[in-house]
Amino acid sequence: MSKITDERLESLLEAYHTSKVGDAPEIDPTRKPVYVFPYKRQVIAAASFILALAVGAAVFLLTRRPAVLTAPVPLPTSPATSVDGTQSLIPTEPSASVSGTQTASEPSSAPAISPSVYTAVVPDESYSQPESYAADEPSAPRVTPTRSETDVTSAPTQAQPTSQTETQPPDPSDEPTDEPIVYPTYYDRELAETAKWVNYLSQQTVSGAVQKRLLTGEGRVYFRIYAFDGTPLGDEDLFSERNLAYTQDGVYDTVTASYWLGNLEDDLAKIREGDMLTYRFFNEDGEVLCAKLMIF
Amino acid sequence: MTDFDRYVELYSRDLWRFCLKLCADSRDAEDLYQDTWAKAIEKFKRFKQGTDFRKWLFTICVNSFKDSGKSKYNSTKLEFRDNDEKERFLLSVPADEQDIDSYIDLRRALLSLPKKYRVVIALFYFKDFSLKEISDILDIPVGTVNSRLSTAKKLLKRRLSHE
Repeated sequence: MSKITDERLESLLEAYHTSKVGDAPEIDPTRKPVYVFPYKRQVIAAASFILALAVGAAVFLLTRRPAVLTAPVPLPTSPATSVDGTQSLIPTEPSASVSGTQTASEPSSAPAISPSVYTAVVPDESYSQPESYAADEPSAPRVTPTRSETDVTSAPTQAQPTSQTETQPPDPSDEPTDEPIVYPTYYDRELAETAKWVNYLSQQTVSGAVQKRLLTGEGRVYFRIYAFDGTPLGDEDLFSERNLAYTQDGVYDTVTASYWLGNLEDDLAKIREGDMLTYRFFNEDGEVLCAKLMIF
Repeated sequence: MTDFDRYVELYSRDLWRFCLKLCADSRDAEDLYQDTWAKAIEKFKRFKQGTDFRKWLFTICVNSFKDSGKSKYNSTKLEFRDNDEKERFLLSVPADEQDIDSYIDLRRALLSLPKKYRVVIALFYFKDFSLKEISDILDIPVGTVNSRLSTAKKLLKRRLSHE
């Protein structure tokens, strides 16, 4: 292309200004985003993991060596007879020298940790006890109102419990706890990530959806509706595990959550048609994954 | 209908078009649009009635855009969602068929600009804000706005000439 003049640039900008590019396309709830390389995050995560392993290994090796070097084991000696019949001190294998008499002769030295002893200690028995994991697993799978992405277009219904194990393997660290779930308040957090969204409202149900590509990792996702002034709607107890949504396997899966308006009870009476509401998805740390506006 | 509802009605379309001008990917534009409204709701109590809501709203939008880090709302790949979207874009430009490529090139050049230059161009050319208003929105001196505008145009010309 030839060199562009100021006038030409101005006219292009002016025409671009008046174009109707900004006419909003309809949001298609079933649309899946198209990415050039959708697994970028996973690759970065894998690379980070490998890097962390390498660093961990390096740290392990570095910390291990000083332990041996800073606490040198005085090599025990044992009498040996030379060819000419005299006795000389010849170092022997450390492991062979740990004897009562030997340690008694070195009362002030640091505990002798010979490499052979050290390596014998290294194996961690906890790694070889898979049965302990099994014992720690929640006895009953948590329930979730997840719906498949295709459900988004269908008439919303109250979310049905789904076994967590259907969507993701149980996390060994996810032990059942009696501690109450603490829900983040409206003003607690800055908006962290946003996501593609759909929302719609029927007479019975409010539904929201967030696509997984912007969720950080696996884990539970909480869903809550707020009034315009930031007041959470509904009794907190109603937002218990029954209303948890779980991420699905796959990059583009959509996490959805539905809320039966009947549960809002008294709050529902405060909401007038045309009111602005927001719904939000949180992760377990209370980080807002998605905050979306909807008009009741 | 509340005041806020009226503002939503008045400025949704305007804001949406602005987001589309800032973001290469319409999905990013949707995010920016939604974030802006969500923040506007949060901060609405701080809005001084009687002042310019449009400027206030666009300030939120611009701040969200430029403070969001390098990658957020900033897909570098110029993509249309599908052929329909591309068709819509092409049909929307008031230009002859043989000139249509120029607008695609312009769009590509615009979206390749660093955020701070893109914002100035979008506010000045596409939203008709004055230099003073842009200065207020970006919280920078008018001279800096002028300078960024000039640099942005130079960059655009260079990129369009090299296309």
